Amino acid sequence: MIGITSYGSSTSAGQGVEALWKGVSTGQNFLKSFPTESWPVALNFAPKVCSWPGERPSSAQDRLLFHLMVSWREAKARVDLSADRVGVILASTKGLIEDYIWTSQSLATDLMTPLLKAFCQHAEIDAVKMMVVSNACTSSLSAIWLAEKWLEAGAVDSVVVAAAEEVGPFVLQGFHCLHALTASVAKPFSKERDGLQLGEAAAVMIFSKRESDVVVSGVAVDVEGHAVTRSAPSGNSLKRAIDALNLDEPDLILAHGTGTQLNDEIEDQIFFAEYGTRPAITGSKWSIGHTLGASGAVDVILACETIRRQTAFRLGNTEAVDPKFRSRYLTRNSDVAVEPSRVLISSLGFGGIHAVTMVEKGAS
Amino acid sequence: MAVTCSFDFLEFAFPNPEPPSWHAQVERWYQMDSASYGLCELWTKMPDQVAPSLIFLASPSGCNEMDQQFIKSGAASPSKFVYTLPSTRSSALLQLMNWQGPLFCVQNDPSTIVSALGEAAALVEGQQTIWIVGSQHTDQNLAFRICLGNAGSLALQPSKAETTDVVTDVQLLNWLKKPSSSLNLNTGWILQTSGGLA
Repeated sequence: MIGITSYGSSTSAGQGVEALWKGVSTGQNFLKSFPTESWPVALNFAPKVCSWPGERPSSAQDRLLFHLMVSWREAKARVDLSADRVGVILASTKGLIEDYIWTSQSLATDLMTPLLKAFCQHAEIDAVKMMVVSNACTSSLSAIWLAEKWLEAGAVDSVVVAAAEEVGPFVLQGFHCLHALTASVAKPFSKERDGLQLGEAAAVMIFSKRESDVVVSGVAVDVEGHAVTRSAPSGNSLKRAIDALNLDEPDLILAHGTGTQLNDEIEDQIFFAEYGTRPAITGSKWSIGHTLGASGAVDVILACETIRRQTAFRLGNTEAVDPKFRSRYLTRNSDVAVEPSRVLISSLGFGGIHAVTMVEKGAS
Repeated sequence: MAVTCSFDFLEFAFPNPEPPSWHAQVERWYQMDSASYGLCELWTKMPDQVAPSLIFLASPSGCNEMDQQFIKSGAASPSKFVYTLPSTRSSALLQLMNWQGPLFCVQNDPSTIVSALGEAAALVEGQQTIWIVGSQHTDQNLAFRICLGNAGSLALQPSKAETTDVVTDVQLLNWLKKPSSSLNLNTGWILQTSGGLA
């Protein structure tokens, strides 16, 4: 068990956790359509499809660093790390891809470590340990797993998990050719669901062994050798991850809930098999988009807020749940009178990778 | 406490026009990136290792090679796009191994493998076996596997002796291919041959 000491975020809902909470809990959709008709783009194409509020003609590193620093300042304002040995983990899928892919230069390094080092430099963190975790859409929860190990081993006093993702032409075209994007809006767990919407986000979470009012009581990651991209329809890997937690039932689930056919089917099937209709299920991607490697961090932050505020939020675009589904969902018109004390967050990613985290009320 | 480990590697040709021996088990094997292909070749030729309880997939240079290929091929191939994600690299290997469990794709250039080795050494305990797998592309394509926690000719010894020098993946792989005396990884561990254990 590790304490969630502090956190901050910058998403398409705005800068700060309050903006994120307000946006998601009042049913706002912050996403705009990304144009794909301009493909193929010329070399040195300047991406102009970002969903970050405001236009900033700059590099991917500038943009990601800016939003990471917004998140860091919010998180850092509530905690003093000056005496701590600090570890830093960056969670991301494609990092600085848009900065170099459109040039002919080859890159001698991976796309994440330069961002991690730049973040540590700007945040003035003299990290005793650093690592990038790139487990596709489970990157954030996987990073929390590693943070827990570092803290349990006593290798560090605090761990900063920084997650950041932006959507440029590379990522956009990738999802476009996968036919994973909806032409309208994402409607997770709805019968009308036909794909996901991409979004951008940065989030920073600070973990320690200190007492906290919200804690991570467990985190598990499971990968299956089923197929190159898609998860097995049986959902066995997600089930194994949940079973590995070996914890009491949650009263709320923040599902991955992308709005794709297979993702939502697997989640419904496994959540119902594990918990029946007892926990309410909701999600955030219909509002701020699927922020890929950062999505788990955003959902952990939202889970903390549901516990602190003793309420939940709805799946704002979902009016009627797919009649095949058997779990209990917080749809657009649902009563959200949930008083969560234990929240499960799930993430599913390419390569058949699944991760779950339980966030619950802490002692302090 | 010291951690014993072993090192396997395979230099392989890529792309290979001939279907590999395992082609029937992996859908669209011909669209794999070189790292995924090399890991499958390594597993097929050297399968006799204790199954791991956890795997680190170390990706020096990330997926840069496949990122470029995706764009150069017109950015229209879903198969190429998914191989721009490190987690997809592990999928074919796991299918051949018939393995499932926790796997972490890590990067920390220029010391990605070095860092993964430090993490694995700190985590391995009891009867656990942890693998670090990955590939390196310099003059040749090289797939590798480091197995910690079972018998092996190498050992990781905890050490507080650190220098300011960064140990790179290239240095580590060169040492692993021809082990001699010891290598201070600067991650709290010294790598040495088992005969040199205190």
